[in-house]
Amino acid sequence: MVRLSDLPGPVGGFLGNLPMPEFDSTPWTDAPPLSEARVAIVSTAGLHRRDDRKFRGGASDYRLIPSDIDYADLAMSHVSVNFDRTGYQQDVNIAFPLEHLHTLAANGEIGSVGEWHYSFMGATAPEQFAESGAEVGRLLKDDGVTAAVLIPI
Amino acid sequence: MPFELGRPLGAPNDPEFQLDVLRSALALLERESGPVLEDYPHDAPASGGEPWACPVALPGGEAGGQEARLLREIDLLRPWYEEASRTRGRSAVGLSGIGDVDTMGSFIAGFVSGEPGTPPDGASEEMPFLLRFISDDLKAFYQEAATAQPGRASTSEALNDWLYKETTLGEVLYDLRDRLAASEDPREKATSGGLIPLTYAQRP
Repeated sequence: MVRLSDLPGPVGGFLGNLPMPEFDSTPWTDAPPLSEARVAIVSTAGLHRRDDRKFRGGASDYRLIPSDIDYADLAMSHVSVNFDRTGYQQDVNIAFPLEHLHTLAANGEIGSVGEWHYSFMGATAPEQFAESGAEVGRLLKDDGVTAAVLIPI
Repeated sequence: MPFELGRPLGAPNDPEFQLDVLRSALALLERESGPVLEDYPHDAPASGGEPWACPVALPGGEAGGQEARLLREIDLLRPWYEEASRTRGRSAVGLSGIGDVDTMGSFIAGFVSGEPGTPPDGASEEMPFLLRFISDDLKAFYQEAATAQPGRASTSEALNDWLYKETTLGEVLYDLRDRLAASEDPREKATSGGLIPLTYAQRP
């Protein structure tokens, strides 16, 4: 996440004034050793397979991205224009580092890569993701995933 | 990850840096207590090489109609767009479903000039949402072409300054935004906000 002080005035002002959520508790669980972890990506970049449904404003659902996806089959339909897309145009790994996860797994640095990864469209109010977020949590668990990399855009 | 929005792993085409960011994030899982809130300690590396410049000189100026000037730009950029697609094996162009970039250009310029806006063949969306995806496709076409030349140190600021301040496409996008913003159709009005970043909201 960019430093607010590095954002141009109108963007920084908008993000800086968003209300911060408050939580009643601070859940914590011990993670398995990285070398045994099964890792998946959860992105808010509005990514999806090219022939999947595009995101619309206010979307709180998610798209499924298989672990063997060819980057040529990946599209981004995030509704916000207030983030850079030129990095993603040149190199998908800057926003969705699936190739790097496979590299870490091949090196034995992580145990394995999840079969599926998930993408939301992050311009929606966070509380609206409660249902779909819980569903993705269940799906990750079903896949045996023990660590998720949450990557904002 | 203290990087600009849109670049959560720091810098494109720098796999070693990206891997270090990813390893650092994963290493947080090994902490024995939490919550853990920690900044990645390095800024994104500056791109090396020659300063960025568009590989082709675009004509500029006001001569000729807007649609003709837009199509001329597309024509000049096309070889570099194709080179970018070839070397990267992919392109971000394609959201609109309209396969032909000339068709996108003619459609969007025609709509700006007052034509009714009947979606071209293949369009994946209805109006006015289609306009947003066409604008995304055209921006991607331009900026993928503009970054096709290896060894050029492009930054997002340079690429966006160029697109919004120096190209006919930028001019068309401002005109499109203004036409949609003036519409009484709430869907068109809403679409006007999805074309130009806040940073570039003021027309140059």
